[in-house]
Amino acid sequence: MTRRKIEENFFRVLMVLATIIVAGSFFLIVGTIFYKGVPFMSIDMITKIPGGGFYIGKEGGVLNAIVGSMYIAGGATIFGLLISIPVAIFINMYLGGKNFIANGLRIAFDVLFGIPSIVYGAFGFLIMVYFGIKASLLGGIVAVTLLVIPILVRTLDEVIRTVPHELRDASLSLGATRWEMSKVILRQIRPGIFTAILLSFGRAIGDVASVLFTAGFSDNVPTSLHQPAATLPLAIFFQLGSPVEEVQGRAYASALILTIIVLIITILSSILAKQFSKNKI
Amino acid sequence: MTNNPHISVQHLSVQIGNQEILKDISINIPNKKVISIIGPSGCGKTTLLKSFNRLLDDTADVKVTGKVLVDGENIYDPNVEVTHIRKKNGTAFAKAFSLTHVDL
Repeated sequence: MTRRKIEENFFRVLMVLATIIVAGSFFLIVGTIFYKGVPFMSIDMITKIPGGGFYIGKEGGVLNAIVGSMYIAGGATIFGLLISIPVAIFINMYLGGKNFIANGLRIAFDVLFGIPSIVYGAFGFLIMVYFGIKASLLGGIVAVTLLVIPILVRTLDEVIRTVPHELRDASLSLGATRWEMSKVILRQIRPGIFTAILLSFGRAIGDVASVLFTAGFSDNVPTSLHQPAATLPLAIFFQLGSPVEEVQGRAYASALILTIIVLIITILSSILAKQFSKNKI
Repeated sequence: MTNNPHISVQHLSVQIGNQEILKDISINIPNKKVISIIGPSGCGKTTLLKSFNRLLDDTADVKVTGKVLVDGENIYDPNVEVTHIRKKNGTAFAKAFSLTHVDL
């Protein structure tokens, strides 16, 4: 066997092994959650709030955390998008030839992307103290919005950069203003917006540290922005810490619910992304 | 060539970064005539076309000197409304795009 063939086979085996490890870890994690969570799964888990003594193994469910997580992740993603889309458009469409400012902003968002979420939690907590907001749904949404903005901006930025430059030139050359050109680009990046929503929602719904101080925790479903809200990751954390086996099992059932929510969002996003790619150039 | 050209390029130079793309170009393009600009790849044909409706404005580190007069109006005059110029001088690029749902 020649040296080139040995090299080729070595790297092929290396790549197959790496793929098996990654895919295997995915199936191992999901499999474990299903294996440990399914026996404790019940209708009560998703339709009831924790009853008295839930954390010592008595009846109830995690509806409070499901609703809280959906409110926080959904709210943060919506607010994040409202802020991030204009930022991404500004960087790409309005800064034009001023590449150094655009690149500076990109570096800033990359740094924000890498900051641990507890820092956002602490910063959100400071904002709440400043404005006199108590740990609440609103506080959680504000902190998580700060967390997802860099993800959204950088994802949308990369998506906008994939739009052919000729398309911008074509719209500008017909006398379009920058805003009109942005509308043309926005139509093109709609599939990418759904990918950004998916990434942002996934990060938002799974984050613990940013909501630890800001959202609080409550056994009730929040009915206003000023009430504390439970989240699924925190519910899992509290349940796993219990010495009662039943409660620990419910933690895995809660993890299963969280996984299924993310799975549903992923499927929905990819369906919508495909739907909107039909008109893409 | 007629006495009143539709587009009159006078001593146009375009520099992008340190590279000089167009150097002292002067050309008169009469109204209602088909003009071909022929040259090897990378010689500046597209840059010249883009300079006719200020599409170069968006290019990083671009420096344009000289004049481009469209119906006697210098389109590089700072007071000129760029979208007005572009509406007047549309450009069809090699790769065509249909701008659906756009009303200009």
